Amino acid sequence: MSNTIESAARPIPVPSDLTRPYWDAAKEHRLDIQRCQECSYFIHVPLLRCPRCDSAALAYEPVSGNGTIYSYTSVHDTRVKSFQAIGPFIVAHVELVEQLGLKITCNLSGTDPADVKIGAPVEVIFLPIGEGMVLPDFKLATLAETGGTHD
Amino acid sequence: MTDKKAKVAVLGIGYSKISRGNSTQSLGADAVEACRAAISDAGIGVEEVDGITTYKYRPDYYGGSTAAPDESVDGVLVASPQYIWKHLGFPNLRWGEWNDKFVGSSLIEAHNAIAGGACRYALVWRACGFEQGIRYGNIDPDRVTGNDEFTLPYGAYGGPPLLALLAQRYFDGYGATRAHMATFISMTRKNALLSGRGYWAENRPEQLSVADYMAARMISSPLCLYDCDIPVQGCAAYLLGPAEAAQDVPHGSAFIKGFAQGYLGPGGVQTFLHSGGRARPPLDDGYAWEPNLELGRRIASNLWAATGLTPKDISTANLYDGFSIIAWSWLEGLGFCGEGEAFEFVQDGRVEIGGELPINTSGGNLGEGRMHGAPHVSEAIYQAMGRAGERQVKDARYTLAAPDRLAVGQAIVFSSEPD
Repeated sequence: MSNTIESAARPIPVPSDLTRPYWDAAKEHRLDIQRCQECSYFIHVPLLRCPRCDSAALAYEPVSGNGTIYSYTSVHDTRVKSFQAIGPFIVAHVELVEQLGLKITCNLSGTDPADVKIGAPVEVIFLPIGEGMVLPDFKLATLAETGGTHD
Repeated sequence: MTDKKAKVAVLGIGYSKISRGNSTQSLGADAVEACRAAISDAGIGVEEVDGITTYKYRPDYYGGSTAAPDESVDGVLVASPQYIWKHLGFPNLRWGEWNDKFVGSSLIEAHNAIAGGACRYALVWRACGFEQGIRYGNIDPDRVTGNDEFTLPYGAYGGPPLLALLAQRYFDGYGATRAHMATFISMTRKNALLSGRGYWAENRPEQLSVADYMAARMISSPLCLYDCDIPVQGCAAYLLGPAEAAQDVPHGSAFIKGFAQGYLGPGGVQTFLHSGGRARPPLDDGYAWEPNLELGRRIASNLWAATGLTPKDISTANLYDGFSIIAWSWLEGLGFCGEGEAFEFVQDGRVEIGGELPINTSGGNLGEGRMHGAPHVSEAIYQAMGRAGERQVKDARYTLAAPDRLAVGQAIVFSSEPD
């Protein structure tokens, strides 16, 4: 596995006051997404004000971690040096079940590229990436878990 | 009813050579050359130019980079208004500005400055270069902060992967394949070589066959090498003036009939000129097909209202193709074909010169090089002026340029007559 995404030296996020709750939740293997407390709109990536209603009353709330693959690409030629040592890797946008259009970037690491299809149900996983940081990623949902419903 | 008579026209156009690290002159010198050529083409003197504007930002910088600030590379990797002012003089300058979106927005700003009386003759230019001596656009961050926290740890960076997400969604949703793209890309190269300007025509006059495209190495699936424009160094410039000044110009002018613009932000479709460009979050809907189409329809309805025209009135269109799939999003967004139809619309010669709707008749960015929409603006102007040579579209009364990604885009209609 030395040539796959698992071995990539990933840049380490340095959280700000705005983003720290997201990364703190990930350390506890929980996916928390910023949400407007006025109009209930989920926001990712984090912002200072709600793009829908302009409220500044934003807070992080746990989400199910379930979604579907919105789109994907197999990256063969990257400008990020630490990823140039590995073979082609997947970058995907996952649309979370909580809200239409609520998307999150991931690698679907550990998933066979042949199984990566738009619309496929996925669930969150958590990857330690060094210095105590944990990165949310996704994998194909297991059959038992795809029948669940979420708020 | 609003008065749809054009108030402003493009009177002159100028180009430097387009090179790729093999130029004997700096980007700044390219910009000075192109600007002087545009002023001279309009038949006026430098002292008559009283307005200037540009979009100056580097094509090889997406954020997350350790790139030097623009100020330290002015004349080398950018050509700012201050730089051009210093080198051309402009003793009677009254209006100067630089904007945050591509050259189409610069053109709109210049139009409005002239129409509003801030200046009489406005010079617009776009100088594009890239840092030599490193692999193009390479970055090597070990720490990331801000929006990059949510993308760079996944290696999601730069144009190809993000536009590949747009392309894959489209391919999967509507049944398009790389073979459909191949005919389109091969056509843009053919057009570029006809034009004689741009990277390929000036440096490597090689046709690109469908087979060449199909065999090309993958960059970020489904986008291969030839879906991505080639980074170049060069400058294009335009001289705008009041419509009545067109009668003094020794050749045809391109009257600005109307324009519209839009922006896809984290809150969805917006039509005001937001600070798009580099400030937007990376996970906005800019790389998602459906929101792009929705925005395109909004831009289109504003454009057709502003011009009193319909897609059928457009003689030829130049649609941004810094990454190939974007041109298809404009075809559908502006209503030249229906949703999910672009990949078939571009087949069977329909969009070739002599076809139903010739598009990217100078090859666009894919044909001229990474000039960030200048090829589209230039060609729409040349066609409206009737100066497109072998590429000239017959009776090109209304020509269109959509010289940016749809998600942050503008569409401009030029007319060969003041109307």
